[in-house]
Amino acid sequence: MTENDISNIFKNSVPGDPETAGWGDRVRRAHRRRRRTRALTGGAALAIVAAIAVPLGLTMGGASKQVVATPAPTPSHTATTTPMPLEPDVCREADGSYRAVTSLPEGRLPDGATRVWLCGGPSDLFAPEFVGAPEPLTQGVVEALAAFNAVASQSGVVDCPANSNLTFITVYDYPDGSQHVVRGSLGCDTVFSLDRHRADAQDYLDTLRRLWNAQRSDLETSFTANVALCPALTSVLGVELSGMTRAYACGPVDGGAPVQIPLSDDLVKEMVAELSAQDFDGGPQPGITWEAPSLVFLSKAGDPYTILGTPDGYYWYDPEPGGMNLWRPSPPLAARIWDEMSRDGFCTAPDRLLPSEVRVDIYDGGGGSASVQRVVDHLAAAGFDVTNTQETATPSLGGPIILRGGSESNGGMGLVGSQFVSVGGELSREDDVVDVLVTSVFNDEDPPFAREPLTDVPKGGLTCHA
Amino acid sequence: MTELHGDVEHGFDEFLRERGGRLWRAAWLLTGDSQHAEDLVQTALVKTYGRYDTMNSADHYEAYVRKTIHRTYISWWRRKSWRAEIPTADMAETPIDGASSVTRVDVVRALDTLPRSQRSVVVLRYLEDRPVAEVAELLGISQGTVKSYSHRAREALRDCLHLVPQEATP
Repeated sequence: MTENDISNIFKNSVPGDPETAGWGDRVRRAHRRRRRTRALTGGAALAIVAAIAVPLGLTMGGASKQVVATPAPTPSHTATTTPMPLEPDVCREADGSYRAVTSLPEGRLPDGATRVWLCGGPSDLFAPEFVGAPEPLTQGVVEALAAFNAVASQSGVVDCPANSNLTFITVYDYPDGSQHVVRGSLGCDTVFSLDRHRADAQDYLDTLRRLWNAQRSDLETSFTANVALCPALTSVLGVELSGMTRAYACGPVDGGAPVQIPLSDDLVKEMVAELSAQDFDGGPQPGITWEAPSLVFLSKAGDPYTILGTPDGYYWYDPEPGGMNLWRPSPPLAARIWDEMSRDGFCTAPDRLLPSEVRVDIYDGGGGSASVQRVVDHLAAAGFDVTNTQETATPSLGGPIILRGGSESNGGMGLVGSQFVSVGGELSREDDVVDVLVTSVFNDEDPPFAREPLTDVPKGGLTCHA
Repeated sequence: MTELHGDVEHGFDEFLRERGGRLWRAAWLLTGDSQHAEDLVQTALVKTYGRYDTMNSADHYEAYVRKTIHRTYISWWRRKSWRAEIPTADMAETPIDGASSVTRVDVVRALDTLPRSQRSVVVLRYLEDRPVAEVAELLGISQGTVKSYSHRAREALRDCLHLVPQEATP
């Protein structure tokens, strides 16, 4: 079946066009409802505050301190109650989309706001999803408002060099029930309201972070609610992995209903210790494929941080300055992580024993035996004992071979003439070889690519697909 | 490039008359269900309506709506469980012949085995004939990921018993 065949099947199978009469009216009505909802949401704010305050154990007056006595959750295979959303409803429109920015009188936030909500914003990435604080800012509201108004307005085109995907929304509550919504983008270093944009989103967010941290310190905030963190949430508050106290495995990945499995306190401590001790110096770009259960950490105050799973490790994008981090857990810790994930059959623990002898079926699809021999030589140079079985080759396959594994996570490790050669590095015995991929040329527009990608569950040792 | 109509309301209706079906077809392949497809298109239109009169051409606005459709579709899986509702039994609002019906059911079943992000990629590649680079830009993913997803989708579709080319051609 060729690409043209698939294209033809798609085009022939789609039903005839629907009747679109009336769509325009429905869209306009829904659009007007959105705008009205935006205005009315302020009236519901008090109820929302109460709903959030109870599970968070917060004192909304802000004057007195309260220490939450709810015990930390005991790890279990599944949550006993339905997790609630981490972000308050005030962060979303009725249709689930992010709050839209509002127009500001004379371009400034009016004085007199009583509360500020910090929410996540839309990201270009599939994952993670950014979220704000579960609780509102009630102390330092005047300073937050002043920080926004102090940011200078800009004119002209907004330049977004895309060095960060972090966006956030702040919602200001006023005593009359009205609200103002502004959105910040670190990638554009700009804060937007409906009528203008301002520079220095980073400064504004830094102020908000400082104010939230001060409030939490003063109120001794402890977040114990059972919240939905999967498939991948990361806080805009700039939390450090070293401050994480809970963690959850999230899966299945990339489809289906998310499953959220609490990990034990001991395991969380060990993971945090290993992550904190790691010296990151950047790494190759792995793409955004997300092929294994991810880990979502949670701080004492309720700020999540997600690292995305791949078959041989974890990676995550540090929103600031947008770099990527890689972590390959030490073998004992990896075994423990997989053991806890494997409860109830959630995952299948991989056998990560590295074989001393590798049998690779290398198929020569016309590239010539010299290419095959180069692959064999490369493997042998890496310390593997390779049995070259090219005599069993299937003529229909060809092209370079990609050996997956090592710290490249999702990236392929180019061996011979691979387009991924710039992604990967030299293969070594330090790498967990998890898969061998034979590439094949589909057509001129679709250059060589993996003939058989990894499955969702890692395979131990070397698995050959051909 | 088609210029947007001067009267916003009339122009928007005209846009839907000319291009709504095309948007809906992509949404149908994403959701496998006529009503869900309409919901998805209308959700995207509501999200983007405020930008309609700021776009300088219908092509630009359509591209914007299309991008919103795919991104909404991918993000909706966190909040909605379409997979539990699915789809093949209630697809027949439009009269169809037997062969097309079988193919249609198989296409939906095949696509339903794909994660949403992969499904979105294949719809863009094979229904809308968009090149890899454009799909990558539209979905905000790397070109390598687009190729990977396309490949997996092809493999999944090949595994479907009835999806052979001769059955797809009326």
